[in-house]
Amino acid sequence: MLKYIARRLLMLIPILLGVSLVLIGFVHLLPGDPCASMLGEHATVEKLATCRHSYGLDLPIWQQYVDYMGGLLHGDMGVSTSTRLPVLDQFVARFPATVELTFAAMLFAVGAGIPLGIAAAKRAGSAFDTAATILSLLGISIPIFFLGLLLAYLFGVWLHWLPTAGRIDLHLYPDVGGGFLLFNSLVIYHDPAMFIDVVKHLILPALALGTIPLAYIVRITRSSVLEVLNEDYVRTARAKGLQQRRIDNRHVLRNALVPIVTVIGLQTGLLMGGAVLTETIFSWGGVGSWLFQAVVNNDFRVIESGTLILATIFVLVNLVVDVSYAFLNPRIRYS
Amino acid sequence: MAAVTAATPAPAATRHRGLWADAASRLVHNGPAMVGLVLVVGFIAVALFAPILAPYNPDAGTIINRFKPPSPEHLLGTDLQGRDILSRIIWGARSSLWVAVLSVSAGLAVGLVYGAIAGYLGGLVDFWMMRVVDVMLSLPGLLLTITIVVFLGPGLNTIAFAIAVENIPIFARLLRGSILGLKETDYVMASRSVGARGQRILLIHIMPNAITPVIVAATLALATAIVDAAGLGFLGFGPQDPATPEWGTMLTDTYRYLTSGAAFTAFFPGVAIVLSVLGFNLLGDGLRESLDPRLKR
Repeated sequence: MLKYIARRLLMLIPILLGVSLVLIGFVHLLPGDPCASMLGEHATVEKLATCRHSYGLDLPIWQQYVDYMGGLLHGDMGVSTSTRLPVLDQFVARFPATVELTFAAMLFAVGAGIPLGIAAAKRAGSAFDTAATILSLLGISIPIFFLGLLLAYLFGVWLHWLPTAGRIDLHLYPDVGGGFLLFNSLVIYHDPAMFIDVVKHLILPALALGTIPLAYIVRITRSSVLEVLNEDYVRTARAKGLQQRRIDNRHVLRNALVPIVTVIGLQTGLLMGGAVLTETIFSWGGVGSWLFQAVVNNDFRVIESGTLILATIFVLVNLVVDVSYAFLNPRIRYS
Repeated sequence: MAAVTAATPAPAATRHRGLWADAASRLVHNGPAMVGLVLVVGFIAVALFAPILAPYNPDAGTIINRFKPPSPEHLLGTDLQGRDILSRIIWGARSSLWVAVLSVSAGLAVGLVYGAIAGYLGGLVDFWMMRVVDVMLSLPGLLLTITIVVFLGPGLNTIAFAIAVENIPIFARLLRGSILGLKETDYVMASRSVGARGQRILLIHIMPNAITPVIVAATLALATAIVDAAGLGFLGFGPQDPATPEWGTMLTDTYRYLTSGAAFTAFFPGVAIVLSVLGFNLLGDGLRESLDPRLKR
């Protein structure tokens, strides 16, 4: 197992080298000059030249790549051309917002999706099963931004139940800033009211973002459980007189989990990749909207380093999923 | 003895109709898939006959008519510029269909050739070709498409190109996986043992069988392409010409007016997206089930 993990971690190197090559090639093809957009229309030729020199943009592309990779090895991800702040600092400031949103969305998707999928499978062919199937199909078919708008309109504008923008009420908590607000509100500030405010802000974006994973989890759980329910060992367990709950938990769910975990892992990786649309609608200051702005502003260093970090996370999440198979199903062995 | 004779099935019932005829028969008897087919055919018909179906010019409107709620005159109301929303949705179907078909066929064309080469040649060629696919798949999808659209400029064709690039590794990996599985089957071995050439084996024996999951994936990819295109339109990368309506762009325009009592302007384009996407998803699911009879609903 350890050998397998080590080999997979080694495989990360060529993949990330490939990603960095694609990114740097891509970003340098983007139209416009980052220095020109940073200094404005009235910048003198000298100032432009100085700026281009300070970012290494006057060097040949291969030299820029080598310098960039050298910097990465020393933990230097470069400086943003639009904010002039280190990219890593900006990422660290925004990442907690993305993690909290992903966590809440997946909590909703897994918490509702697995029970719904199991219930649908156990009542296969019933009206409940049809309703669950239709709902999951609708969940896959509704664009995130439209669902976000509907939720914002219904719960924010119409019912006034939930806030539709930001992570916390800045009028009540002007000095809180960023970070893991769910955690900080309870552990650092010891303020349950603040925690509730953070949760309220989290609900709508999490529902919008979690709906697609929810739909996939319901579908895969339903089909996977349905397959296991017909297995001989489940019939045997039932014939032995085991309690239904024990059959469900120990025999059915455990054997049905591998494809479900695959979908959960894949969806988590995708959500970590930045929820550009959800973050735009709910003014959520996460990684997705940051990278989106970087692309629009031609902030090449943010695009390169930010995407590289996200790609690393995506590959690592996939590795965790692959390794978890062996724990879920002891028949799976890695060599 | 008489009972035995009666129980023997009639020869007609055991007649073998072939994979595709069987699949078509199963598809016709699949209710949700038929609903999907109706939605898809409706969507295509609306796109093709937009000039006949649209009650108004999609770009014509006056500011006096802005935000008129649904009425017999304007069935789905009017937008910020007083344009008829129904007409813009009908013309918008053209944009969505164009992007979906162009992006999926371009992605298929490149992805299939790539996947077929990797899967059939195998070995080191396959290894390195798949590492390129890994690299492509580990890039965040929407950001990749946004970057391409920023690079090439907004518009339907660039959106289609960006989505096609996103699709290539998906189709390539899928076909390559299918081919790898089929390469070791008995009938391919038999074909090789009687001296068939590689190209013939690939095109005559492997591809027709390997293509089945790709057809299903392509149908589902049409749905994703419509959503992605609308997402890019929503972010402001749709067609810049107001005479070319696009569903996602229509939502961006109306997003700001949710609080001013004009929520219907955002609602109807959204429903159009959901219905067309749902159609392709239902049809794709139905195709999957009818092409692989082992799957049961």
